[in-house]
Amino acid sequence: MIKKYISDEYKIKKEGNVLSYAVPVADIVQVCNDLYFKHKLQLKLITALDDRENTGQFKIFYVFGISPENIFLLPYISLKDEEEFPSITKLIHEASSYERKIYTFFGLRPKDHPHMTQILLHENWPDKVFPLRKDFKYQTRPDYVDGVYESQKVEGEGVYEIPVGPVHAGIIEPGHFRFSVAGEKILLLKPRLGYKHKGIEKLFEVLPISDKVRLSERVSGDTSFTHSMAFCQSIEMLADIDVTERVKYLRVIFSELERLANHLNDIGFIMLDTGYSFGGSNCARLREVIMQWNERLTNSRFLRGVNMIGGIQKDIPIKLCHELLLTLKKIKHDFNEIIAVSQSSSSVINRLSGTGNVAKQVAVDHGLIGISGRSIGIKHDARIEYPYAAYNKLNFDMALEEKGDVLARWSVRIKEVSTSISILEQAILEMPSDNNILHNKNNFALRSNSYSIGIAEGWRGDIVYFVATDSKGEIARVDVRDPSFINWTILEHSVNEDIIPDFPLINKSFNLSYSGNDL
Amino acid sequence: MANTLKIKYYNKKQFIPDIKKALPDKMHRGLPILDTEKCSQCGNCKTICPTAAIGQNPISIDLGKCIFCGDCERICKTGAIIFSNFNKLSSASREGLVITEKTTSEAFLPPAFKVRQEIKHIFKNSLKLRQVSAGGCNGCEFELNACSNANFDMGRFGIEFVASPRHADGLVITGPITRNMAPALEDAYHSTPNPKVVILTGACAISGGLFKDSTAIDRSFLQKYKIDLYIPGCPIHPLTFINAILCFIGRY
Repeated sequence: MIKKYISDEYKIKKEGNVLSYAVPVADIVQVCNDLYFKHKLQLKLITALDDRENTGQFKIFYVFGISPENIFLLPYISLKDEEEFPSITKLIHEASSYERKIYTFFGLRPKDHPHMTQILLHENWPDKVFPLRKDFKYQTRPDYVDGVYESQKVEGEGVYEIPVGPVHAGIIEPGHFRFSVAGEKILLLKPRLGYKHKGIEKLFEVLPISDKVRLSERVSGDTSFTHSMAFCQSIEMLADIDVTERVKYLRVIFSELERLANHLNDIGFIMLDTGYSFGGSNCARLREVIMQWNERLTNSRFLRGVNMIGGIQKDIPIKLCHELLLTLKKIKHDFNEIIAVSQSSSSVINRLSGTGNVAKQVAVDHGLIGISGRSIGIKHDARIEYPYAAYNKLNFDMALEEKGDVLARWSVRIKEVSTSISILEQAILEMPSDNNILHNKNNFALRSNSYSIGIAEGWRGDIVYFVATDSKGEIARVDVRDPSFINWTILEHSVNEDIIPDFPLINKSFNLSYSGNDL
Repeated sequence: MANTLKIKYYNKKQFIPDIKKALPDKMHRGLPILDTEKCSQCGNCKTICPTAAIGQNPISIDLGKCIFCGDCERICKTGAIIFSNFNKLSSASREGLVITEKTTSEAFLPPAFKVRQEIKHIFKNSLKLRQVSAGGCNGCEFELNACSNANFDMGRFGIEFVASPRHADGLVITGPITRNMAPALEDAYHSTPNPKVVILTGACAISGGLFKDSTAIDRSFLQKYKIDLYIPGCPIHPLTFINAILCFIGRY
């Protein structure tokens, strides 16, 4: 099966769910082109590794996923004594941000990249200091330098700029948006992120392994459980740990509770942004029910401190299972009533429909994933495509919409609330009862000089963890790819037909993570 | 119409009438109870703690650093550390967050909770706050939003979040204060009219949490300006936040 993707001339190394093979620098554009366009594989990540201590080289990995076999192809190039590599952005547009990130953090320049500027680090960061190189110590705090932020300008009669943020009106994360407008109509929007950059990827290299799990819970606070699950899965792959069946079901349950809480919150907030406080307040109330259940089940409202490598800390007693089923039934009933009332309000539907349109081809080119992708008919869902935990044993459909406007993104969430409740009910009933929830290897060793990919569908979209180990079996690099990193690129293309007052609504309908993007 | 009324009735049922008496579920990790007699001095808790919050001889926990992961409770074989569900934790001084065996829940409530008289005088009946997310993970932001939902309804005390620092009586800071956010935080501070208060919420803001040594953090703001209130948690619980503010403005 693999033969059709990889030419015979490359030597393949298979470890866990990863097939890695070295490709000469000159061939990489062609290899990626074939995998992406000919074989229609999804590009999941492009990342770099500073391997100069071992081999004197930088390596750049291109991660392609094969669904539903759940295998990842990792063609990689090695750069010795050079700091340039061929860019694939002109062919594969979604590669753009990955290559810019590699330039910013490793100082490796993608040759012929059409839009080469650094991301995430601001102008206060000195030139030629690259924090993810191994010779950069994680405690160093370079002096501030005076740089000027230049954004794209629109000129013409009556055109003016509106800067918004980084401190916003609501209690949300920081980001800067610069609008060029004529009257109320948005001509151009340039988002600027990186305000939350706190060096997470560097910390992943230095913290002890148990703290790394705690750190993954804090990459994006609202997705604590799924982030730590993706990280734990990648480590379990490297250590050849099989988690028990019960753990797989428990992970499904907690992950779906997280999705349910966040979708309820978003559905409410989108209604609140149209001024419909009935919907906003009631959905916030339902979310609170889930949050209190999270606390009852795991001691933490955000499901933190639950995942661990090889298992899960908290089991759900049988008595609570029955109670949870009853609560879910009530929530389903309650939610359907609220949505029925809300959908009959023409002021809500009118405001949502046709707002924040994304053109399908633009979405495909940017590699849109998650709920934003599914709202425009892009069928990506890691729970189905790369079945992990116990998802392959459960029955559910992908929630899809076609239109790609705010209404579509709102409706996808409504459908997913029902799917989540159905998954939860199945998982609770079918969960095997007699298993141990912790693995019995107290000390585990990771394979040396190896790579692994952890993937899990967070409520925004798929979360990818790339982990590389060095010759001693220590973790040398962790790349975290939150879905927001991809989906932020679409925001500026979704406001072109809209007016300024619609922007908060459009932004909320994506509800992307700033923290997960900035790392 | 009948449906709308029915839903409004559900809404009312979830409301917490007495915030001061309300406690979270008994599973919640709040104030840790320490027992030196049970402590075998093995040091396992100190080793496993991700943020170095635990001190030995005698055993103590700095709640400003604690991320309430519960690892120390799990690893302690003798039960010297047990988390209780008491979560009305807050202090007007940084030292007040370091707990020992002798610390009881009363230490966090008036009259032990001490604060400048002028704060009570000025802000007792109305406190408008501006939240600045200085690099956190979005957990504390979610919980601050939850403070205003139908359950907790913080607005009933005249405590609200406002849209601009110019309308605010004080700043609520979440997150470890990143290098890129530090200038914006300082701007927000200077835009807030005097007299103003500064409140740090969550382990990240108080001590830097897991990120304290990271290259991208700049915590010089905290050395420059006076901090009036520390509210621990990771993230903070809405009940913790509301009760802390009530203690702070003298309405507990």
